[in-house]
Amino acid sequence: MSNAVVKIENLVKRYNELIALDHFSLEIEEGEIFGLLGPNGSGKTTTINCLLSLLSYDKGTVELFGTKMAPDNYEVKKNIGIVMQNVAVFEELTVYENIDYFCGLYVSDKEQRAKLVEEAIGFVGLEEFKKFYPKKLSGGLLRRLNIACGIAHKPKLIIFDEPTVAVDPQSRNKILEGIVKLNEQGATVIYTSHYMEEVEQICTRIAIMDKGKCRAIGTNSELKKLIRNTETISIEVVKPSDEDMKEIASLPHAYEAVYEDSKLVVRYSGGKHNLIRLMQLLSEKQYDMGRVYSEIPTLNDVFLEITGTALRDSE
Amino acid sequence: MFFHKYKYGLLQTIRNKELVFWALGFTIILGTLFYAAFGNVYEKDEVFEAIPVAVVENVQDDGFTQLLSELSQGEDKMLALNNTDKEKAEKLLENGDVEAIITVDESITLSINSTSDNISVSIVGSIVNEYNTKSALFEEIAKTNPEKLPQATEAMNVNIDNVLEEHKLTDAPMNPYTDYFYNLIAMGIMFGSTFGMTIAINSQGNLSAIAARKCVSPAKKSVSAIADILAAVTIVFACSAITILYVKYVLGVELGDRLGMYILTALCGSVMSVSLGYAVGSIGSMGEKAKGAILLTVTLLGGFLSGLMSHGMRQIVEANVPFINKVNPAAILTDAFFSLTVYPHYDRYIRSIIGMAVITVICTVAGIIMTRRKKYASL
Repeated sequence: MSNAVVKIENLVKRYNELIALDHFSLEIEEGEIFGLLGPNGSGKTTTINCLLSLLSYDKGTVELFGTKMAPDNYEVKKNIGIVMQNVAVFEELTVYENIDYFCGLYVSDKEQRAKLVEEAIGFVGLEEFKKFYPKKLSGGLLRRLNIACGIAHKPKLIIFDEPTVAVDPQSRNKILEGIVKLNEQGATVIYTSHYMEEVEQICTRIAIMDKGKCRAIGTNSELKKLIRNTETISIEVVKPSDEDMKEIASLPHAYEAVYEDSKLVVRYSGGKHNLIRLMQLLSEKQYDMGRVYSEIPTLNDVFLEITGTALRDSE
Repeated sequence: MFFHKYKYGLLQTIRNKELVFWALGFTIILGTLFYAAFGNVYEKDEVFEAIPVAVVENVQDDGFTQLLSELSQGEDKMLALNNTDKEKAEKLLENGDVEAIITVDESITLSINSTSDNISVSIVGSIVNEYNTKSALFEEIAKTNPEKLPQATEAMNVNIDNVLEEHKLTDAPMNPYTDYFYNLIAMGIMFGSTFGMTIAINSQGNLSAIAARKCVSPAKKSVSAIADILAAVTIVFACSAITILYVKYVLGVELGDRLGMYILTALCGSVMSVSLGYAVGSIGSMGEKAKGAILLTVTLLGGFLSGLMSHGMRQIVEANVPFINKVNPAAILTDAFFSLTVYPHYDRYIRSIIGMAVITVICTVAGIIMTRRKKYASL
């Protein structure tokens, strides 16, 4: 890749016996919304902290904008915005003052800063809450303030570390829309989450992390092509006999048939008209069918097949 | 960048109600309670309470006997004498019944112990020294130029009133209860160390999310730290100045005629106190609670040893482990106030100010070095 904004090579981070990052490598191009997907403890936040030179690491290199990242690399830091997992604002300052304070760490010109602060307030929709202290804000509004503090200076690279944890669906959608908008305005975005739906919704490329390793990397469709599953059909039906189950499993392109939660679940690898064939067979065998579901694979299926555990199970 | 940080440092600190309460509200409330508790005593005769002294006369010295007699008479007598023998006098001193023993031999000597009151000892010591100096001078003149003895007597104008005037240490009132008030002011200033620790915590990425956000920014930690420290110093100093003015003008406690110097001392103390908190907050990779516990131990123990909680403790430490008083920030600050109250000259006061400056520089530089350009092993 030519325009790498972030380049991580062979990063190793140990906490005594625990290996938090195990030879982790990654390149992120300019203009991407790059998702780091993995369960809690998979190493997403550790990666971000090493990337920002907050954490020391045992081995490997981290380059941002083509230069080695270090705590005193102030030129690179000017171009970074961070939205932390934990809300990082001052309780003693109002919404406006908090954004102005953090923006002031990057922009010294007062007039320019005032303009940027107003823009950030408008961007996250906190116009009515400018003079509010953080403790008077709801969880969702607080998250929005947290975002405004991280993006007000218009950074080229913005890192969102699980920004939607404990956020109501309405605020979550606003946040996700905002991230896409920032990307459209030219920012490269790194987005970490253990919510696969969010990552699937907004990220242009995704790295699946598990136990400190990058298990797979690619676009949403590229990742899904990595696995055998192309379609999962579930039908509410009484449990078929063992003999019938064997017959179902031997249908063209089916590679697995199980009965779980009062549903027959059949997984396919490729092929067309799988649903019709399955329903024909069940009708021939005179099974009464209830609701029928046909699902294309999700990132959870990708995660399941790559790591052996479901993303939600491993949290 | 610096003024931006300073401005917001001021806003954050002044709006931190808990910290401001301890630095200002608490000291004002406690000061008012002090005044209510011994206000009557303060206004009446306690101010001029005679100093209890044991006198052991091994030889006859008429001049000194007359001097003591003059000083121990009248309504505003300075000394309360107890003529006794050496053994009984030592027992009286040990029991705290007297502040000092005056032994009349060929020369007059003074014995004190570690619990003796500093002001009382200074007064009695000055009387004895003055008498010894002048009697030696007269003896010398009598031997070498006996004819000039009358002129010498006249020139020195040796009378009791004059002796009393010359021994006055300062224009400030010799009131033991004033101690409580400048100890209180010192205690309020030492609370400023908590402000310093908050600054340190908010600059270490492994201790708070705010600090992590600041660490990621291009703002230099040293610049941020100095701006934040100055903002905190401004607030701590303002709190201490308000406390001083409240004690002097609202409660009416006489702090002497060196109000400006008191305020200056409060400023130096504020800088030292915030720096101390900043240094303790910057030590190692411990959590906020552990650092808070260390700071609390340092300030409370320092405060106790300097007499902020127990009157006379500083004198006990001075008698037994004087080194502690030289490195204990609370003791140095208290000593600066004490020097201003008691001594007419500035020698001891300047030593205290230098001590505060040294602690400030060491703490600030150490704090910045410990926190700057740092990657953390864990967050």
